[in-house]
Amino acid sequence: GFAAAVAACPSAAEAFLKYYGIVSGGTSAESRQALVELSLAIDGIEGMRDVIFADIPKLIPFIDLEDMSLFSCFYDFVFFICREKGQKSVTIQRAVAAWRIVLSGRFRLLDRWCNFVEKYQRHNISEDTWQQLLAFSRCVNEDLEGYDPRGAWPVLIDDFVEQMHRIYHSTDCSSAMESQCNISSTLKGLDPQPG
Amino acid sequence: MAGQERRTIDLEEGWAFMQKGITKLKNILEGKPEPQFSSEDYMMLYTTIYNMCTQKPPHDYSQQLYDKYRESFEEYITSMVLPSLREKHDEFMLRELVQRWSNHKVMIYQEIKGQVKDAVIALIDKEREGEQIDRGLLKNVLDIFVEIGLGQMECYENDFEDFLLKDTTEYYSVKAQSWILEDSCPDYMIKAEECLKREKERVGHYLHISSEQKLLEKVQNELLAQYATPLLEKEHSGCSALLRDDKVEDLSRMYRLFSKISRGLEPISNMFKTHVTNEGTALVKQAEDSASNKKPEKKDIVGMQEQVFVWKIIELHDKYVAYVTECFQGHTLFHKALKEAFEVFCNKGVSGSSSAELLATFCDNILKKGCSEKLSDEAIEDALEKVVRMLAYISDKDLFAEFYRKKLARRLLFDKSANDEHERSILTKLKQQCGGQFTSKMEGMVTDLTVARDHQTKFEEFVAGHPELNPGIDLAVTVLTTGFWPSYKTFDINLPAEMVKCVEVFKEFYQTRTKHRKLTWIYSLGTCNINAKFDAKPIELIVTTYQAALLLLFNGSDRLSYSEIVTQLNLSDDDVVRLLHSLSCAKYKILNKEPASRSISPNDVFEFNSKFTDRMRRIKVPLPPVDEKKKVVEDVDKDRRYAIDASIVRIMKSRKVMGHQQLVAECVEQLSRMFKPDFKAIKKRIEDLITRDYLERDKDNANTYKYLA
Repeated sequence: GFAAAVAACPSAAEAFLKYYGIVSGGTSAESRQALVELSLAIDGIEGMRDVIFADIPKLIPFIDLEDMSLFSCFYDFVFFICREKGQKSVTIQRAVAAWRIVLSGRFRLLDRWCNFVEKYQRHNISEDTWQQLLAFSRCVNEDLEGYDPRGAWPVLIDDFVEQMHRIYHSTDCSSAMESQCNISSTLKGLDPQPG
Repeated sequence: MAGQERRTIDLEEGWAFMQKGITKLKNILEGKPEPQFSSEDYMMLYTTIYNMCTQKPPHDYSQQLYDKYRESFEEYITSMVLPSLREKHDEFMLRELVQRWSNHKVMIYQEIKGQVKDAVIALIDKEREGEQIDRGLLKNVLDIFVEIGLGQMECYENDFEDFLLKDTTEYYSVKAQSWILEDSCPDYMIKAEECLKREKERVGHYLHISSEQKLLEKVQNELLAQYATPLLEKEHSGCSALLRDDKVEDLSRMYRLFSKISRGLEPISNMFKTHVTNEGTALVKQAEDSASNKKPEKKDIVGMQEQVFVWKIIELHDKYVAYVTECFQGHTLFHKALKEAFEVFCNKGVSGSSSAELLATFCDNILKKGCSEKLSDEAIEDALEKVVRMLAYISDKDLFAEFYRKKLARRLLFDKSANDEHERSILTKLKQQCGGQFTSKMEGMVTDLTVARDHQTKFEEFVAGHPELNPGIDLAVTVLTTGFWPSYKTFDINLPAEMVKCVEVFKEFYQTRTKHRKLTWIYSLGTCNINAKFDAKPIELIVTTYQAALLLLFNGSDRLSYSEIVTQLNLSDDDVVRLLHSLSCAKYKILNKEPASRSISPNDVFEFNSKFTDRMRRIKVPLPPVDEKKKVVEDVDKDRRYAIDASIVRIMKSRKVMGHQQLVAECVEQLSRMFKPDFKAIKKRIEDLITRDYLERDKDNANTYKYLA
């Protein structure tokens, strides 16, 4: 069925196929090197990155969204495409635009997340934060249940949760306040229990 | 005797003779008139029995004699001894017992032990109530219980001690119930201590020594352990009240009593901690209040208040250290409580100043020339000792070090340090407390300055030896080692030609001394003495190099606009505004400003004020220092990022794979000697290290990191 994808959005589909091939085979050192080369190849053609990025919405219908590991790979691919000229991180503007495309319908707090990042984040988005957001979107529901403040979430995600609790607090005093207190206390004191 | 023919004694004959002796003995025991046994009587009786027992069978009567003796012994006990004991009671019974005891032990013991135990305990209770009793008598009676065991303590323990302990428990339980309601905490404790003392004496007087511990435990349990909470928490006289009212003696007693009880000291140390925390927090609040009431123009007094605050904290510490060592005998629980209490309020800071800064300022005030407190050398040493001890409670030791270095730099560079020995002495103390790494830069600074003095002499010799190079200005240069000193901003200020010449001469001199070192000039730290020719009289002005450079511009032009000054000096606006303010709007108006006002604006024009004069021939034109607090905090923040990075890498390098929580905990542990790293800060550093490919997350568990070599 991917032949149709190649027909619909040739550059994006081809890049993804190459990316997928590199990531799913070989040692991590090998694929690291191969990805650097792929990145250079893309940058070798003027404007190629933008073309691929623009084609991503067209590519989505061809990805089996139920296949978790395939989707993870696709999600990482989007970050790979967003990186400009050997940069390790992605500008906030780019990252938010990409999130809105790739996580649409898959993350209930997507809108709030994107607004939060645009408003409070000052630095670029690192690959780690990008990847961890997918994990976060999978394990947390709308009430932020399933979020463990002692976990190794990136600080940006911690801050987001804190902000969400503050918002819930202003709408529902009693229950949200408790959870907010929990969070701030765990942020200050350290709990040696493993997350 | 052997070989001699002996007449055989038959049983009847022999026993009849013995019977006479027994009757005589009974009479003596019962106190009837009867002469005592003579030694002949005794010999006869003994010899008869001996002979009867050693005759050849069938004339060996030893068994029969023994049976007959037992018969008559039992008959005597039953018919005489026991009835006489039974008809007597209490003390008289005991006297009778001791009397009877010396003759007949086991039988009497079995018969009478229950009664005896009751009577003894009744007497002990009487004594507890303050009555006089015959202790010697009790001693004798209780010796029976010990003696009967023939080396084993079972009889004493089972037949007497158990009952005594039970009685004791009941006795003191009843006492405690009423005392706890009637008495204040100190009175109760006095009573309890007295009871314990008496019980201990009781053991000495008549109980067996093995009872001491058991008996005291019962009393302690009933009087103290059972009522610890209501006693210690008595509203007007409990532990908190005693601490509040400095009742040192009562507190010492409290310690003595409760130290004997398992976990008995914990509540006391907790109350101690709360009390000290409250006292300290009150001092912080007091300082906050007086700081918020400050009048902006009275800045010196505000500084004084902060000084006073640190003194008060030190006093508080002295006071409660004495409590710990004296009242609480240096017990670790109380050391810990004191430490934890001080950590609470010592890390609060006062009105925007962290305590690290307050302590550094305190040291500075004591160590600098013209110290307002007029302390003797010993008092200064003492104060330094104490302030260093306070530092143990500060979690941001790195922040203290940075502030301290800033202030030390000022003292050293502007010749404000009052005493070299004190400077070195506090560094020794800091080194002892915080380690060599903590003070190495500071020590380097002090050493730099000593070396610099020597250097200066050499420079003067150099100039004297090369008159053609003499710049015509006296120049003193202090060469410092970059790493030791705080970082200073360096600007390429356009120096006046006179000064440029000075710099060149020194460079030339410096090249003769060393080849591989680069000189960086920090003009912002320089001072100049310049002669200003005013209409009335010339005055020597003591100004900073920057001020001097600005003033010297007016040698070339009478009037200069703000922007001309900025361009000619090549300094930032902030700096130029500060300089111009000090020269035209402050105490000494060496420049006239148009329009005249209290602040500098970019449209102002300046002119040398030749009318200026002063009663002094030499004046210092002060330039208020830039508030360096922000920079210090930023510098420390940057250093911390490096320190956290280094710590994480160190840990991960040795562990290779590690869980998030564990890594954070170890990192905090490693760094706690210098500062308390913020949870978020560590997380941010971990993220950064992931980005920089030092670490990666485990593919299957995002909470676990792997070290990438």
